[in-house]
Amino acid sequence: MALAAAQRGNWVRTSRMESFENASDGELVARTRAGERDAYGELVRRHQATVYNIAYRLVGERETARDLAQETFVCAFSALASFDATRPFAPWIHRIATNTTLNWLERQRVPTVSLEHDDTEPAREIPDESNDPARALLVQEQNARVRRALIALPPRQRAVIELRHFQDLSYEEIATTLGIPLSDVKSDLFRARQHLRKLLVGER
Amino acid sequence: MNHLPLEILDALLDEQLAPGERADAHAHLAACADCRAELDARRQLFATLDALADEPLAVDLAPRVLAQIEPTPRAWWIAALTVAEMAAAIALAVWLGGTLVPLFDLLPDFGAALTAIQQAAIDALNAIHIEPLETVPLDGLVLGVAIVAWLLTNWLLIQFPKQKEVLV
Repeated sequence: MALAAAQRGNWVRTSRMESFENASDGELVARTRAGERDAYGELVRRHQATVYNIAYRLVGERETARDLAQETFVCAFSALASFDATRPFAPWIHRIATNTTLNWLERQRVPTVSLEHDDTEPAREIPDESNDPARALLVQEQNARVRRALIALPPRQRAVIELRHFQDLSYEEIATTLGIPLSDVKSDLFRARQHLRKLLVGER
Repeated sequence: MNHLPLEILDALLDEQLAPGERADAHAHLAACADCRAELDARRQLFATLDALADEPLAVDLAPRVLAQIEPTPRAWWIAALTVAEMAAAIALAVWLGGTLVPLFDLLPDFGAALTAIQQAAIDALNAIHIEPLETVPLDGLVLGVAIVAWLLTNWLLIQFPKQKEVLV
């Protein structure tokens, strides 16, 4: 009898998981608000890789990025009541991730590092699909170089680069997300790019 | 020939220029090789950033997040402490009831109610043949100890929900 109940419980859980997989983000938000915590689990699974990568680009450390991604989802859950369900979930969670990470960086007052600084952790990038080991290595090295250049920037400049280049926000949207004037967005973006260009492309 | 400011070149690549500014910038670029070269260099930086590959996430964060947002169960001792604090507060009010009355001159009904509660408690103790406690004058030491105890128990009650499970 207990076994039957357990099997029934598993069946209910499995069928609910399947219904989550087919649900839109908006439906999952509504179901989370209605008290279905597993619906939020599905939202986390859908967006965790992107959120993790936002944090990773900003902090340059895998473990810290994982912790910050986790913190992002916990914060977002607390703020879910304020989420406008008529808008897409992804940009909302990405902005929370950026701000959570930026706040963390500002609390740490992380010193900037030089491009020549050796990455202690070996790069573990997605292998290149061309199956050309030399090319894959080149891509890996280039990725590591870009990441080192990004974390050499002051935190707010990193954030504007993240929001503009990786989240494709307009200048006005960046200003709103970070709560800074439009003129600061433009100057931070300009300075960050000048710095990155020096590090990655070389001065003309 | 004046060159385009670098901020304008960035804004052009970002598609953040107004139509008129964009047309002016394109007109200048058509005639200025230096600005075209600068634009290409900046475009190269944009392409370098765009080419940055995502890092795979090796773990599923969902179980950790769900565990963290789960409401923290209240320990039995929290419930016991809450009940004890309430009982102590009632006992103290009854014990000090008579002496507290002057403090409520501005609220005579409340003072009278407090005295009535105290008398009812004494009558109840008499009815079950238990020697009633003597009421004590409102003493600074007694009041101080009561306030410290009250603050301490409330601090414990507030602190406990902050202790979340440490996740690895």
